[in-house]
Amino acid sequence: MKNPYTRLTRSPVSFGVYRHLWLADDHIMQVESTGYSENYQRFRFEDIQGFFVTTSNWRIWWNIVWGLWVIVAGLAFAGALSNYETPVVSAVFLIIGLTFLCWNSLLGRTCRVFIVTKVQTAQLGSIGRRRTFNRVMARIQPLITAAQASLVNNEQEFARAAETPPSIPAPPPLSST
Amino acid sequence: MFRGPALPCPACRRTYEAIDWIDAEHCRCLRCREDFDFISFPALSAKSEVVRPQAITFAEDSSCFFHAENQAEKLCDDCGRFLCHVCAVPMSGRTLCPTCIASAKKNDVQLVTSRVVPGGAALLLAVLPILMWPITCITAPAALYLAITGWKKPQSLVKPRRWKLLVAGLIASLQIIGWCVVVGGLFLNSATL
Ligand SMILES: [Zn+2]
Ligand SMILES: [Zn+2]
Ligand SMILES: [Zn+2]
Repeated sequence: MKNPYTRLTRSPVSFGVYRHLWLADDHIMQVESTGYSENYQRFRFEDIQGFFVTTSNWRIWWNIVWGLWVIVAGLAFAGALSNYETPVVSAVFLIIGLTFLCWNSLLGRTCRVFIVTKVQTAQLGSIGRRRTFNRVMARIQPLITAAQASLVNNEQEFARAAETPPSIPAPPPLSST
Repeated sequence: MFRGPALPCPACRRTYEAIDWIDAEHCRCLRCREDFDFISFPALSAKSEVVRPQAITFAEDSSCFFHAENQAEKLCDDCGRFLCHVCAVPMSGRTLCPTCIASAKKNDVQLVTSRVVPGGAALLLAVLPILMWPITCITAPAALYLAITGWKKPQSLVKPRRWKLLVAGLIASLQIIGWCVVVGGLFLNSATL
């Protein structure tokens, strides 16, 4: 059987629980995975009312962590160089720190995303970066709009009906006989 | 002031008055001071349909299986029971009754809410105990058992591949072989002494 799901996002950095987002024909599904088990949260396109997005500070905190790492590794590296040693270990640590520092900066702003449906507002922990959110929206926005097209039509009909006064049926023609 | 939808703040969960709408796409929570962008869809302004069952008016009308006083309006696509407007639940293009939804929940791809992943469970049981290796004499056979029995069990909904079962089975088998060699060696040693 063909897998009905295609991946939308990978899990942001987290410990123990990984959250990723998947796309199916008529819904998106957030999977919470521990390795041992998986929990599934589905959001049908026709039920989605909106998304709240807010910028979070995670990028700054991670930059501080990796920045400190780079400073410590850099000091060890410089210390070893000044003692005429070959700083292999500190060089490895320095490269690791620099890689993660650049990686974290290049991934762009971190954010928190909340999905609003008729029955709940849930956080989409599977989206951690603004860029990821924009990519996901570009993919699913047309699908949601298409799934809710009938709602738009209904609303327009409703508005039109409200504007035009109800027509009074014409009286039956008088029989001349 | 812009009048936005009456939604609670998603961050602090305070109810309606907490959110101050700047325009249709931007708002701020007056309690937790969080700024939000908002992307809305037509479902937000759509009036939710009020479901009201029809009472039976004629004796010959069929009644709902679950509510004898309500007129049947639909059939369950699974068990064929007569259902009133309240009991007929639309589910991915089909109409199901509450009983069929409850029984389908475990296996139906559209309804299942959680699942133990056999491959992941077997792999964890095969790999993690290596940190405390003496217990692998118990966990390795258990992991091998999980790997074999997990082959036919329902897999992950999103990653239904079985390679983890193979890897877990292989690692567990190697551990069992290792134990056999150790125990066999000890046995032979004591026999020659
Ligand atoms: Zn708030
Ligand atoms: Zn049924
Ligand atoms: Zn009923």
